[in-house]
Parts: sequence; structure tokens; C-alpha cells
Amino acid sequence: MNARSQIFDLTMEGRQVDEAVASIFHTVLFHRCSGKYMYTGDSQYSIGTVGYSDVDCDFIDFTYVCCTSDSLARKVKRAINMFSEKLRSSDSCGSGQISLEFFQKKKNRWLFTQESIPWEVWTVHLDLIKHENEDDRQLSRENVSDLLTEKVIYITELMNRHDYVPKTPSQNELDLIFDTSFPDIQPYLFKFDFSTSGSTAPSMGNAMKKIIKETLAM
Amino acid sequence: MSAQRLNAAEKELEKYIKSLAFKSAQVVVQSRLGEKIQTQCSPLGGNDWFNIVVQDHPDVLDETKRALALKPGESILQRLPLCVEISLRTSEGDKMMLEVWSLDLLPVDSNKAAAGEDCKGEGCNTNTINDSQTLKASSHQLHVIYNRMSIMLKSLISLTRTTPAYKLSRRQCPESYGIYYRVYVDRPQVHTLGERHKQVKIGQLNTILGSVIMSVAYRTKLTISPTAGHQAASAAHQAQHNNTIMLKSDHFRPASDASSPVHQMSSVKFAVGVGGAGPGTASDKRFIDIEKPLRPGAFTDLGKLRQFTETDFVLPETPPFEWMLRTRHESNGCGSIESLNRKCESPVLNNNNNTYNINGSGNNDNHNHNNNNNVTAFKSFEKSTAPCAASPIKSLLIPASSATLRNNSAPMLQEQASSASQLQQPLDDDSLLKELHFPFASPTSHVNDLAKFYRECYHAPPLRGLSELQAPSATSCGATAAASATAAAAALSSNAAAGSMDDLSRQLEQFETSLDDYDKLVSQFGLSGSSSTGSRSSGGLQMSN
Repeated sequence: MNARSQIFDLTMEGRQVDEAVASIFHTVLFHRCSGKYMYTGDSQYSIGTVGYSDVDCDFIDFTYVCCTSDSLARKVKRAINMFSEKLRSSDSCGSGQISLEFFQKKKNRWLFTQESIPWEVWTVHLDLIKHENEDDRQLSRENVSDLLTEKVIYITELMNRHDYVPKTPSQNELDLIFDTSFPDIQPYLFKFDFSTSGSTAPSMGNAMKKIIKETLAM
Repeated sequence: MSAQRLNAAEKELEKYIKSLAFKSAQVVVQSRLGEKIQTQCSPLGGNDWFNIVVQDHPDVLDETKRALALKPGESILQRLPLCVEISLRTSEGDKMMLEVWSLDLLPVDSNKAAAGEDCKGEGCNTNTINDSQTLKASSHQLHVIYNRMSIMLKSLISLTRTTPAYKLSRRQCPESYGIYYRVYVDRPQVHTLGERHKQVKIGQLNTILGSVIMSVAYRTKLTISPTAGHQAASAAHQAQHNNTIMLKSDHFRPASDASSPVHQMSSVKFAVGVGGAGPGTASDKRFIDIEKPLRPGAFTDLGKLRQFTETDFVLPETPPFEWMLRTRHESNGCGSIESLNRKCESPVLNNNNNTYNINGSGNNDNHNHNNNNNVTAFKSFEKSTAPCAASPIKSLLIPASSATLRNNSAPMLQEQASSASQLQQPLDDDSLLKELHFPFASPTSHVNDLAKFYRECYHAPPLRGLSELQAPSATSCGATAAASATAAAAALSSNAAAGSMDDLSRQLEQFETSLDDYDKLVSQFGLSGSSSTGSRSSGGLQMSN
């Protein structure tokens, strides 16, 4: 099965990276989160509700919405921080990408390790620039805001297409589809992946690495 | 059996759509309250529709109910294009529509066409509801629709934070502007959103009852009428960080008298001027606004008043400390009093000049009389100043010729008179004229004459011997000045000074060389050697006098 892939190309200052990536990923995750499933029987369950919060950016003239979940916010922030620090470090050439990958697991088949199959990948490709003066910086603050507005509109457009999402499973298979580790929300299984310094074709490389790793793990 | 199920599914779906309509209105209006919203997750399950915690604001709920006006048992489907309109109203009462959020339901027949247009890719095809499937609307399908509506509502929540109105709403304050909402059941009135408004379809959901379409149309040009308060414009400006404030002239009140083009133009200009936002405003202000500090009298002929420009008041470029060279022969004390005196007298003189202009040039007697009055006034002032008291009498005699010249030129037109007097004035007048170029004094005024007179009063009487020596250089200077009125005064005066210095040194040299002759002369008179030096020095003085 092929995963849907979306790539956003953005150019901005280093300090704007965290907020820009967070606004895109949180918007996606907000759409890809459901309330906690509480099973009362094998097939009987109730679904919790999802709260939302407005988040104002400091370095961009922008406000985005995310799920009101500290644990999710922490997880997203940690991943983005790692990426942005690497991207902004001195040994970086100022370009890199981070992706949010939704996947589902396949059942264990005795000896084999669990297989992860991505079904949707959101990638943000970033190029860093430096502004010489405050006017440029102010202009970029607005430009990045306009850019993010576009991206959010695009994300909502894609979300409302009737595309594939994994079906809700029975209770014992729930964690093959959903990340049940969060206490308040239940997003689809997701992970972050990033690469910096213009490593070309990262998805291909990652796929190869994954195959080799899995073969060795056998 | 199937008909019953269908009916039940339709009922259920209708309930979903109704809830979606109510929740959408809540989401939109709450996002425009100007504050950050945070709702808490409820993992144990709540009664919130679509599994999203959207608290109901009672006012909004009432408004939505009133707009829908659903009687008991009446279906929402017939009422549906439900719109929430967000507008901005300034403290002055001007209104601007910002956006219209709408929830519509397209009938089943047009479903396919719409689906074919908007849905691309395989996902759409798999979910397009076939006729056969329509009849078998199961609970599973309802569940899918419910989830899709949930996503649609999430999209709505996300999108309400991205339109320009959100930023405006966060900055609203009662002193400048407020954000208002209106819920109505009608086609979305997008014509009020101005040119180039943007339309975004948030989502489309195909159901057995039709296609549920959620969309928004929002204003991109945050324009406001000129009268609509500077604050709102500046707030909009702040929000958008645009360089220009777009002012739309007659968008809101096309029928009012105030919207005549001239009036609008002036008010637009005024607004821009007050704001001072544009860097180009400086260049527009070429005219000195003489009407502000000095308004013409009630019966003055405005047509005869000159429009003063900046060039009238620009002082000519002179090298630094040039005045020191010029006023070397004058006493320093007089110079300072002079300038003070001029400052005191200038408004009076200016007024005299104005009245003269208005009365016409035939009023020579009056003019002279005025001048005489001024002369006496200055004289009395001069007499009170001890160090300069003696000199004016002399200097009054000397410029008698120039006074006659002025009388001759008096019947001429103002400009000619002024140019003539400029030509006839000695070069030294420049320093006085320069200082007399104070604001509101025109070059054509008789202040120049006064200045000349004044200078003459204050000048120490030139030494006779020196003046004789200077005669050639002075005439050359005068000739040059006559040839080019705007010639650099500094160069000329320095030339004159240098020339006189040369002459003096030459003369001294001459005296030194003929010292023996003088000694001989003295010895012929048979005087002693000690007294001869004294007489020699007095002789030197005699010569210089």
C-alpha cells in the first residue's frame, strides 16, 4: 500500500522553525486525533471528547489550534526541538526536513518483528535564511504567516477529502492503529523522522535502512 | 422494513446536520470574541457532539435558533443555507463586512455533479454514494458521516484562526472597533466583502439527504471609508502590517451628500496628512502654510496675496564667519542690538507692507510717511544706545543720494523697485539682508530699504584716506554686483578686504622708504629728535586720516 505524501517547502529564519513546524503538525494531529476509546465490553465502547487550545506564535504572526493535551504537546515539541537544533547548528548547511508519519502495525507473526506500514506522511522541508535588518524580519514575519495560512487551508482541504484512513479495529487490535499511550486523547499511530544538511532522497534511504535493520533483527 | 430504516437513518442524519449547524455557529462566533480559547479533553466520554468540546454560548445559541426559526417537527434541511456573518464596526459607527461562514445542503440530484467536480482521486470514488447504497444507509455509514462531520468541524476550528478577521478580533477594543456577528438563513451575501474576496470550501460531505457543504468567503482588502475613524484604519494597518492604508471612497454611503468626489478627496488627503504614514507626504508639502499662523484679514483680496514657497525663505549660502570680515569696521555692540531690534520690529513692518500691497502702488506719500515714522522710531532707539549714538547723523547724510534713488523708483512696480534697490545697494548690505530674511518677510518688501538705512546708521563713517584708496576696488565690486545680482558675496568681500590690506601695507612700505625724507623735513624745521618721532607719528596719522 502506498502512503499519501504531502511536502511543504518553507523558507524562514531559524527561530521561526519550531513554531512553523508545530503549527503544521499540530493542525494535522488535531484532525488525526479522536477521543479515548473506553471499552465497556468487547464491542461496546464510548469515545471521549477532544478539547482544543489556541496557540499564539512568538516569532510568526500566527495562531494555530492543537489538541489540549500536554503529553502530545511535549512529544511534538521534543521532536521538533531536536530537528531545529540540528538544523540551526553550525555544522548544518541550513536545510533539512522533518516528517510526521502515520502508520499502522501488522499483527505479530510469531518470529517476525512487528511491521509498520505508513499510510500518510506529512513532510516539511525547510531552508534557513538570515535577515539583515529589522524591516526584512518584520516582512518575513508576515510572509511566513501568510504561507502558513495557505498550508492550513490546504491541510483542511486534504483532510476533508474522502481518503483512506485505517478502520476502527476491535479492542484487542486497537493499538495497531491508534496510539493508546496518551491519557486524554487517542491519535493514530505516528512518529517523527528528520534529516538535515541536504541529505538527498531521505525517504528512500530510510526505507533501505529499515529493510536492512529488519533483516538483521531477524 | 428498508423504508423504515431509511427513514430512521434520515432522521438521524438530520439530527447530525442540525447539530453541525449549531456547533459551527458556536465555533465561528466564539473564535471572534477576541480571546484565546481552551477546552479540556474529557477521556471518559462526554455528551459533546462530534467528540469535540465546543462549549455553547447561550447568546449564540439563541441567535442561531432565532435565525433558523424551526417550528417543532420542522426539518432543518429546508432552512439550510445558514450563514454566520462577521463584521467590524468602528467607534464612529462605520461598518465593514469581514467574512461569511456558511453551511449549505445541496439536494441529492445535484450531488453527483458537485462530487464529480470537487472530489479527485480514488478516495472520492470509493465513497461516492451509489443509488443502491443510498437505500442501504446503515448505522455504519452513519458512523462514517459522524466522523467526517467531526473532521469538518475540526477544520472549521483550525480555519477560523487563519483568516484576517481573527487577527482583527484579537486586537479589538471598545475605543476603536468591535467585531459583530449576525446569523441568518439565506444565500451568503458575499457582495459586501469587497473586491477580490477569497472563497474557501472547508469540506463537502455526501449523504443520502444531499451534500453538506461548509465554506467561507472572506475579505482580503481591509478597506474602510475615510470617515471611518483613524483608529480602525490604523488597527487594520497594524494587523496587516501593510504599508498603505487603503481608503475606499464611497463604498458604504453611496447616496449621501458627503460622498461627492471633491469632499472625499479632501478628506482622504486630510486623513493621510494626519496619519503621516506615507513617506511621500513630505514632498507634497512644498507650500508653506502661511494661512495657519497669519490669516488674511476679513476684507483682503485673497487673489492679490502671494503664495509663498520655501524658496522665498531660503537663506543664501555664505561661508562661515563671513560676517566677521564684513563688520570689522563696525562696533560689535551695535550689531547685537541691531539684530534684536530687527526681531522686535519685523511684524510691524510686515503688516505695513501688507497694507501697502493691498492699497496699491499709488500711495507713495503714505508709504514715505510710514518709512519716516520708522526712521524716527529707529533713531530714537539708537540715541538711547550710547556707543553708536554719534554715528547715525553722519550716515543719514551719506545715503541721501540713495534716498532720492528710492524716491525715483517708488512709482515703479513692486518687483522693479525691489530689483532696482537690490542693484543699487552696496555689497555690504548683504549681511543685513540675509539676516532680514526672516519668515513672513517677502523680498519685495520695504524692509530692504529700511535695512539699508539702518546699516548706514550703524556704520562708522569710513576713513577718508582709506575710502580714497578703496575707491577703485569698491567700484569694481559694485560693477560686479550690478552685473550679477546673485554673485557670491563672500568672494567679493574677501577680495575687497585683501585689496585694502595690500594697499595699506603698500602705503606703509612707502612711508617707511620715504622715512628719510620726512626726517629731513623735520630737521629743516629745526626741531629736536625726540619730538620729531612724535610728529612723525602724528604725521602718519594725518596721512591716514
